[in-house]
Amino acid sequence: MAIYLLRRLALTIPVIFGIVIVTFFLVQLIPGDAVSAMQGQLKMSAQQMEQMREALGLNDPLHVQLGRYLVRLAQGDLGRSLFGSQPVALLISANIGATFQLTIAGMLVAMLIGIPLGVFAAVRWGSFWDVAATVIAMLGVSVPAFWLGLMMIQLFAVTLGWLPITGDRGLLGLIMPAAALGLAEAAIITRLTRSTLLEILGMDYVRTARAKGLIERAVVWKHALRNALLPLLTMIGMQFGTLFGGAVIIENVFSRQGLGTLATQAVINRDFPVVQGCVMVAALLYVLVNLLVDVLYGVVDPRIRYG
Amino acid sequence: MAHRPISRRNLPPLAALLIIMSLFVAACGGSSPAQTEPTAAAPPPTTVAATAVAAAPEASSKTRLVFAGNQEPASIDVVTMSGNVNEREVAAQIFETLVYIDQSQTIYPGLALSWDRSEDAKVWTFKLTQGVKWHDGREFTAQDVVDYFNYVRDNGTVGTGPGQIKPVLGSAEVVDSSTVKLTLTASRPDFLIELADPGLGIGNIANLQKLGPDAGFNPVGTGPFKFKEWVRGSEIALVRNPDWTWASPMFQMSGPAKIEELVFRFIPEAQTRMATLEAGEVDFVDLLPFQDVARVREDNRFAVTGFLLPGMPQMNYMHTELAPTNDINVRKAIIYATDKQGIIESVYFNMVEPAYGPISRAFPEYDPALEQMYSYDPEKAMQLLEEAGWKLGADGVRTKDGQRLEVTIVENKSWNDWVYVLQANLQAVGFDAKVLTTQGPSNTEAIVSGKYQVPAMGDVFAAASQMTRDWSMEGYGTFPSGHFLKGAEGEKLEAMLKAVETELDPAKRKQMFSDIQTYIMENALMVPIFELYFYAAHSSNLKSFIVDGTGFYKYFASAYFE
Repeated sequence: MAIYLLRRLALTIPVIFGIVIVTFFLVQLIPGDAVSAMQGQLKMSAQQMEQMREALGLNDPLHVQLGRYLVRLAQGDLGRSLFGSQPVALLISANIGATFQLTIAGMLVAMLIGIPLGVFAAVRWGSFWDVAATVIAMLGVSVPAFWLGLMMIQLFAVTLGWLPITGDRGLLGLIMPAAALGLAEAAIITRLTRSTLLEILGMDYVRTARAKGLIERAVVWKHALRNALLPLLTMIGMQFGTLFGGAVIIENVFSRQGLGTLATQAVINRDFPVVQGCVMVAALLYVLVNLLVDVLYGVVDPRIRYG
Repeated sequence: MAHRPISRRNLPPLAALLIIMSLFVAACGGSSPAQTEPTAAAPPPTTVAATAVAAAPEASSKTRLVFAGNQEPASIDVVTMSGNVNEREVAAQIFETLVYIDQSQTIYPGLALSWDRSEDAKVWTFKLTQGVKWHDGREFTAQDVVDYFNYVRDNGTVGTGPGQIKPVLGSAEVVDSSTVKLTLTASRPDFLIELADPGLGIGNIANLQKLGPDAGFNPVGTGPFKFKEWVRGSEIALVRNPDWTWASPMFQMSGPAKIEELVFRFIPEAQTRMATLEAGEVDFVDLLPFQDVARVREDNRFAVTGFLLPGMPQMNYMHTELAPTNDINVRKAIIYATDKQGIIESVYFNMVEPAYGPISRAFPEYDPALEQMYSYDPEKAMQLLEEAGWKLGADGVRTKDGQRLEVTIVENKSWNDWVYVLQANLQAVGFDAKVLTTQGPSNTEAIVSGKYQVPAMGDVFAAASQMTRDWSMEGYGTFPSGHFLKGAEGEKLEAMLKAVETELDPAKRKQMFSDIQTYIMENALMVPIFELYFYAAHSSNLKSFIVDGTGFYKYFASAYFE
């Protein structure tokens, strides 16, 4: 297991390296450059703009710029933002916690609602409750997260006054954003849990378990659901990226700090060092989450061996 | 079918259904009992003075003010910050300007107690307020002021505030321990108005040199509030400066600010911003959406302030060299085809007023004769196009010598919601009108590219002479008129603008401004749309904040809760 983990971790290095290279060239494809973007903010003559391009090294050939960036990166230096001059590492560290908090809370909401609802629908297959759960799942997928967020604000903050919108960086302030972010994912998990469980509930070993006289709860939750977890785990790992992206909208609605907002603003500003830093960190997180999912396979299903 | 009692097992889907239904109810019903449809209300206020400074305030125990803006600053160092609205809003509390200007356009002493100017308005002498200290306890000296102006003059990149005066800065010298002399390279009759811009607060060069770029996150000023904390992505907290005893007469107070903690929270989503006010989380909301103005006015928990912003109204430039707007008849046809009132009613709920020329009617230099020059007249627009040889085709688009009558309107997503009405107006008279949506830097890039005929713009400034930045052929930063205002029209206008910038005689200046406005409109160099208005809402018990001369920025030194 340890060797497997080390090998997988070693593999992340070329993946991240590839992402850095691809991001670097993708960012270059955006029309204009940081200095022309700054022109909208700072008053510069054409000569001053040229001086600034020279100072930032933007006039150097691309391979020189890339080489310089990689050397700095190897030294752990992500550079400074072109707007406000804050160190990129500082900007990322100031924002990553909030994004992580929101993404994990959103995923928890999704799992806590999605899995029980999916199980509930599967065991009552064909009933009114099955249809109701399916309708709820469809609504969850269809309703845009930003709309849901705004409606939650109206109901729970403005009308009822139960929850804070901004300013509370504790758990209370996380409830609405996490719910708005997680409900759409809950719908997807509900549908997958339901369909996977339905298939498993028809299998021979489930029939055997029932024949042995096990109570239905034990059959469903202990025997059937455990086998349904593998595709769920795969999907949850993949949905992590979706949640990470969806967090941008929720961050905007609830005025929360986060990597998504930071990256979006950086793209608008052509703030290349920040864009590159954010993409790299997001990619690293995605790779690590999927590694974690692979490890969890072995925990859920002992038949899976790593070598 | 028999009804079954609701069991515990049935509760989860029921609860979920209830939540979704309640959300729909919230969505459909709204939250405020005071919600009303916007009516064809009376015209908006012209210049609503900021809440008057009360004579005998009865302050409540509340001393924490939370302000909600829309955009987090990138830096709050007044020397180098880019100067978006919220950057200046925060900096205006930390740094002080040499002079202040309020909504009545009265100039008050600030860090300068008095001033004197040479006849040609090139040499300005400032007597400084005594006893001023920086937030770090260091004494504020005449040398600090000289260092600031020298830094602005000598350094390549400074913020938008100092950037305005940088081109005319000659020398700065210490006359004595409390006097500073500034020599400009050109006459600048409106120099004091420029100096009152919150973006021209006297920056702390010693701090800037000590911290470098990090000075933007550790500002040290002389103002009524000191920097406390910046929670990135969320808020900036300031605390009262207990040593601040040199308040400008504009604040009508002495001693430190009444507010103990001033928090700026940044909420990009307009609806969320408004909700935070309604939920009691913030006390002041900037950039109130126009559709909410009438509703919030009805709610006695809040007060709405609306300001006519001096500057250049919302408008479209017209490219004078690019076809088809290189033809004056086409340009005039665009003006006649534009239904300003329709835009004002449908997009701005009658909360703004029509504009007629290149400067706001807030200025004394505004020429009301322009109001008679054009009217909404689609028939006249079509007639002008016919005369210019643009014939209507079967697809509703006019053509001439095989060329379609095609124009592109450049929209800045943050400000120009009205361009789609303009697009429809132009299509109705035979244009193939397209809209290019841009935001932030991409807006500037689109405009300076010179590829588009009718870019939308608007600008806020406190002195009419600052209109040069919008019309100079050189173009400057976000004011890129020079990239499409070409040829004889551009050259003539440039000369007129340069002349008025240095004219000292008030009567002659007024006439020259009138000539410039007439020239711009006679040559159809722009499509005036509507006067810029800025609405904000705040708790009705918040009193005595002061709004600066542009109508954009608030000073909270004298503010208190009743």
